[in-house]
Amino acid sequence: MNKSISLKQDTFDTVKTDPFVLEIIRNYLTTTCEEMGTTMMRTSFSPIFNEARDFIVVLFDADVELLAQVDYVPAMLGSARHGVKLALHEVGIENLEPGDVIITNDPYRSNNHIPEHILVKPIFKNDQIVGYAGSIAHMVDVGGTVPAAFGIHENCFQEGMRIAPVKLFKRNEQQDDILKLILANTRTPEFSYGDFMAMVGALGRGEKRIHDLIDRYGLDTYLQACLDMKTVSERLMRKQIAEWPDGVYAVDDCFESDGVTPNRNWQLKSKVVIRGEEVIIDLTGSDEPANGSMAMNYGSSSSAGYEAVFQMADRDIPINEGCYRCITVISPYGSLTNVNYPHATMAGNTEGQPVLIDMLLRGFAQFSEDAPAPDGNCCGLLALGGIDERTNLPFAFLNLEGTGWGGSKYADGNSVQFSKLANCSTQSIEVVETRYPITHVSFEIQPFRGGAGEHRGGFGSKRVMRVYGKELVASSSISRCTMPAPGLNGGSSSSVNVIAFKSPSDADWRLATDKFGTVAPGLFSNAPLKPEDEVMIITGNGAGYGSPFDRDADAVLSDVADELLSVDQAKDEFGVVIENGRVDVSATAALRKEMKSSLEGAVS
Amino acid sequence: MKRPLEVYERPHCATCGQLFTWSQVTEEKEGRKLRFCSTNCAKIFSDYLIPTYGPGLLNTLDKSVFETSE
Repeated sequence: MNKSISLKQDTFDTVKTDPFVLEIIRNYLTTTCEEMGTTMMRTSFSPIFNEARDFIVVLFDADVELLAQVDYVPAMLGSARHGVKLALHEVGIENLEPGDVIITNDPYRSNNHIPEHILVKPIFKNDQIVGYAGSIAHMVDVGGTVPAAFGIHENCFQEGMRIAPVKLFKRNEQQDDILKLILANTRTPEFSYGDFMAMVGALGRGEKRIHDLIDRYGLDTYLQACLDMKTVSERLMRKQIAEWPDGVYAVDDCFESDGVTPNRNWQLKSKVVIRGEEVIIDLTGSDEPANGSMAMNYGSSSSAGYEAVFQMADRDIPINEGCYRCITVISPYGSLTNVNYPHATMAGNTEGQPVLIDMLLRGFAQFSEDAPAPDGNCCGLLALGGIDERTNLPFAFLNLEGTGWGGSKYADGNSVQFSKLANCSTQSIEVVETRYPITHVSFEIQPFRGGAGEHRGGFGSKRVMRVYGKELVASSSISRCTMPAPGLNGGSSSSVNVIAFKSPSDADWRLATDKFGTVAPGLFSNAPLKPEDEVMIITGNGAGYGSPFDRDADAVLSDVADELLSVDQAKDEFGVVIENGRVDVSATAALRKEMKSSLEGAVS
Repeated sequence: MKRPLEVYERPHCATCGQLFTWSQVTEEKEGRKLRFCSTNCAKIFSDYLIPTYGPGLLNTLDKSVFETSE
């Protein structure tokens, strides 16, 4: 790293920057990340960028340590922290020049999975590197066997084109040979080209803003602030962790299927270890890598660990490298949470992370009331592909979906919100129908199916789409279709996720296991569809928190009035008797007493 | 061009499991030479992993975490 400006390690103990200036610079960097994100949204081609915001933008200092980020997709934190460093290490800092942009998407180099592409640009000042701007974003199609990537794969070669770290730009000059190679291996090169250029544009914004910052405050102040921001965050995070009781908080769970192996689930083991001022997230003992792509790599499993810790920590702590110094994620290489080459990781990143995050939060719940119950653990990843007859070109559409969040000590779970690993949005129906040969039959909140509690889980959604075109195929990476997530402190478990199909000739909705003979109902690739076939996705309710018999009866009545809960469910699940649109207080008290004693008897 | 090492031929940290960048530490643990990405990971191996899982843990580790001269 001889080309980078050396940061003075001996200053770590003392914050030297004026605190007001430090705060101004910190907020400036965060705002710069927001501006980079807005640049990507406004200039990209794909709805997954400009509608769903499936990306992250970050700034690093000269030591490739994280300085600032914004909250688009925390699931990519592991990629940002480890993948960027690996890419720069491999290309060589000494080989970087102003205007270079490195690209990689390699899941074995700590990128979460193949669709996510890391682009990173060195920021020079006076011939020395003073930092890096990074962007990680999800390209809808990356070649491979499945249009829009999400299905079940048995190795990385089926998943798509793997790019080892190379220069996409050299001294601001686009490397056409590299770009041609990449675009020739996607079904949607126009989209991908536009999206790559949006990422490059965002990096340019970050570079300009760092130059502006240095011009205003001077290089020495900027470099000192880089050190001091990390020092402050590290101190705050260590103080936070020290407030948590030392101990080992273990939770086991599983991936219900890998989509390939019949009648087998894949065991996950987790321990949240608090000792003094550090946290260890230990995933030792989990199963071997799955045969199908429901498996994770280090970028993905470390992201889950960081997310769980940050969700439990004080939200005023600025997230940068300083915070990470007190967190170690142990994810043994060659296991289900850190697969070895050439195992696949496509579904494990997006559907595995929510499961792992909630496992870890259940660990935190063993000593903290602040941990919420699990969400529906589903991102609704349905991939549709084929030939769009309007253009006679291939199309690749990826559906993203919100789910019900788990209840907490403080409130009901949010409804139809993207699972904890990301802050993505669903894509506008109008945009989807304009860009793809798809129409919507319905999109609505799915009424209560589970997750009762003093604070119930949020509601999931129900979406029905109809497809048109030729050579149509549907693929899915949707888990928790058979094994719901457990509730907390007496709350009920979440409800399972559902994906089903109906052809005009079908009398009713059919699961993929029935209609196409797949191993798992939500994990499969390239199920053949015909024009006007319909697909339905129902995402789960979040799990409940606390006893449903302690829920405010008026809150139950409110859900009934909103047609999100039936009168019978109010009685059976919450012990609330509703007559003529009102709560029967005495009947409710008697019923709840009876149900509580019955439950206690069953437990004893 | 000299053939670059593919990822499966590269060393990983015996504690956290990630690939190495600029930092690499080799230490002997339980009679075997192991590679770590930092002194902190080497410390965690000694004061957490071995006490928790016992020396048998070494038999479960991927070969890429051991010093190649072994």
